Amino acid sequence: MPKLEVRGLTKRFGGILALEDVSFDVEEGEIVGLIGPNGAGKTTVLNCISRFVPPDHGAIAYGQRQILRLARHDVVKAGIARTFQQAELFKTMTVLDNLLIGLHTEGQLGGIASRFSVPARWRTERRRHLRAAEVIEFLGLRDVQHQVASSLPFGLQKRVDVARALASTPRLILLDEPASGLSHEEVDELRQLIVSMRNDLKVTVLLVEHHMGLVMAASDRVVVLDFGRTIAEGTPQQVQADRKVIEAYLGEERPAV
Amino acid sequence: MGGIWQRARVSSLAWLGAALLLIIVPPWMAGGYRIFQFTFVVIYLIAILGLNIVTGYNGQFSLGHGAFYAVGAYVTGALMYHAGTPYWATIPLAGLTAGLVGFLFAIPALRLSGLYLALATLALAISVPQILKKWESVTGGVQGLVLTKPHSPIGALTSDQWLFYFTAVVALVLYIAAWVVLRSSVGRAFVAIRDNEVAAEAAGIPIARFKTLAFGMSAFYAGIAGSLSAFVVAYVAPDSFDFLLSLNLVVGMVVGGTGTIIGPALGAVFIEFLPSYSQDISRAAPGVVEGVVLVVFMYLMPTGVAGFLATAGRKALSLVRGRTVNHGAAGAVPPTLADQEPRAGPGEGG
Ligand SMILES: Nc1ncnc2c1ncn2[C@@H]1O[C@H](COP(=O)(O)OP(=O)(O)O)[C@@H](O)[C@H]1O
Ligand SMILES: [Mg+2]
Repeated sequence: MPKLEVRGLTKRFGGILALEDVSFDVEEGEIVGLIGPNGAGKTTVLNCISRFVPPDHGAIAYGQRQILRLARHDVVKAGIARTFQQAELFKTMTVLDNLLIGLHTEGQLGGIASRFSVPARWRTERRRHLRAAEVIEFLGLRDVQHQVASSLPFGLQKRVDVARALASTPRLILLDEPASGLSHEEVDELRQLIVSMRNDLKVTVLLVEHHMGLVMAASDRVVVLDFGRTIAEGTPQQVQADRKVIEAYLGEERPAV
Repeated sequence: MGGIWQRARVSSLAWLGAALLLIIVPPWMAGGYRIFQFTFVVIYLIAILGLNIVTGYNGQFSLGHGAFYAVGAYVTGALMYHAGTPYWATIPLAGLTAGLVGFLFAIPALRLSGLYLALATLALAISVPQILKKWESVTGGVQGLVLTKPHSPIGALTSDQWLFYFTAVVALVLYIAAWVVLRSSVGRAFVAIRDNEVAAEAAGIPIARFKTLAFGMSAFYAGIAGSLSAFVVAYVAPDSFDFLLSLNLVVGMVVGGTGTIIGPALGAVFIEFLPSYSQDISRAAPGVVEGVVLVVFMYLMPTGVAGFLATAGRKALSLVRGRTVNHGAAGAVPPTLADQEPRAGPGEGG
């Protein structure tokens, strides 16, 4: 059972210490919330795990794998997919094609033969379409699947971003503020989706979120960052009662729920 | 699924039919110089097709494809001139050499993007003719190499007619190859990188590999175009491959429609015939006429001729079919995540 282990992550951007000795685990099958005020370093943690940012110190293991030894494009092959705070889509492509790109690595485990044999490529392409159709169904994107991604409202774009990450059949998904910019109802749908991802698709979730209601309702465990440091960790109830957490959020936004 | 496939097959058959007509008919419409011009439309088409792969689909701006074209032309020229190689046998080597040059150029160019990449390719376009001039023993220097024009192996065809058919068949093969590649997962990865490099990499696409592949493939096409031009003109000289050639290819690509399959053909017609028609309109300042036509084109068809035709076609279709087309999609209420609840419910309970 792969477990994500983040150990002693430290990252400095010029004069800013974005992460300082951050450590936490995500067990298989968990939904872990990673919260903290703006600029706390949440996205930087995800960027380290997905290899977009090299940390100055620290280690990240996923099962037997040392993530920091992987190339950026190999992270998804290790079973870790991510979404982006700003829904980074392939804007001229249709929703379906966005998902097919999410399935790019599908069929690449078959070795050289599968890359150069035309029938094998066709079979792979067919598998991609079947898988994309499943994910489109799961996320209720059927009616917009042939629309160009950039023509969709922001809420749907964020859902496409999640869909593309899910398409790769990850074992761990990193969600970067999936609720930002969503309406009240959309946030509720999102909560159900995240829970269903874990329960039905057996995907482990690391949920970076600013929306306290969502994190507290969906997470099994919550890790709190403030100015790049872990200030609390525990169940949603424990974290909400934590004095340091309340102080960190004072003047920011009162923890809802 | 079956319906889509059937439609795809019917429309690709229609395209193939149209392509065959365009291949068979032109040499009988006119003689001599006109046929030669048609042949050049085909040659430019191949080069623009190549440029379109790297710039249109992959988003790497190249102002230097004349350089790869020149490499292809000189490989063919040198082989024919020095080794007496038959013209047709030089084509693959010309393409592969240009492709290799493009691939190697792309490796350091990976660090550049946007305007910086455009400048680097511009430098390539400017320096290659200089290098060719200096390397006299092989390239014939400023004089260039005079080649023997290929004879028609078929008695009924003149040499010009034969060369048109020959280049047209090469173009058709390359067109189909490009179509197959661009519609495969490779083409999709090219576009993904153009649209959003960060997301593409997160999706598992090795950016460097696909960018160099696109450049190499693109240069391969330009090299083949150059190779064909060498024996069609029966002469290669450095001045035929100046910066204007690179610029013309960009103009052809943009006018035809960037990132489309049909665009290169339209763009090739444009860059081959615009200069001669401009001459007819104003002998004194043909450049001005070209400039004005270009501006008007871009103003009226900002997505290129191919984009314009596609939009116009869609509008015409929806006029013919009325609104029934849209009803199917608009009528249905989009399912929301709430619809998933019955599935999520039991899982949550268990
Ligand atoms: N690429 C970067 N270059 C410079 N500074 C950065 C970069 N990414 C993040 N930072 C800084 O690091 C800190 C943490 O940012 P981030 O991880 O985005 O916070 P969060 O996602 O919690 O809002 C912020 O002060 C931010 O300005
Ligand atoms: Mg962030």
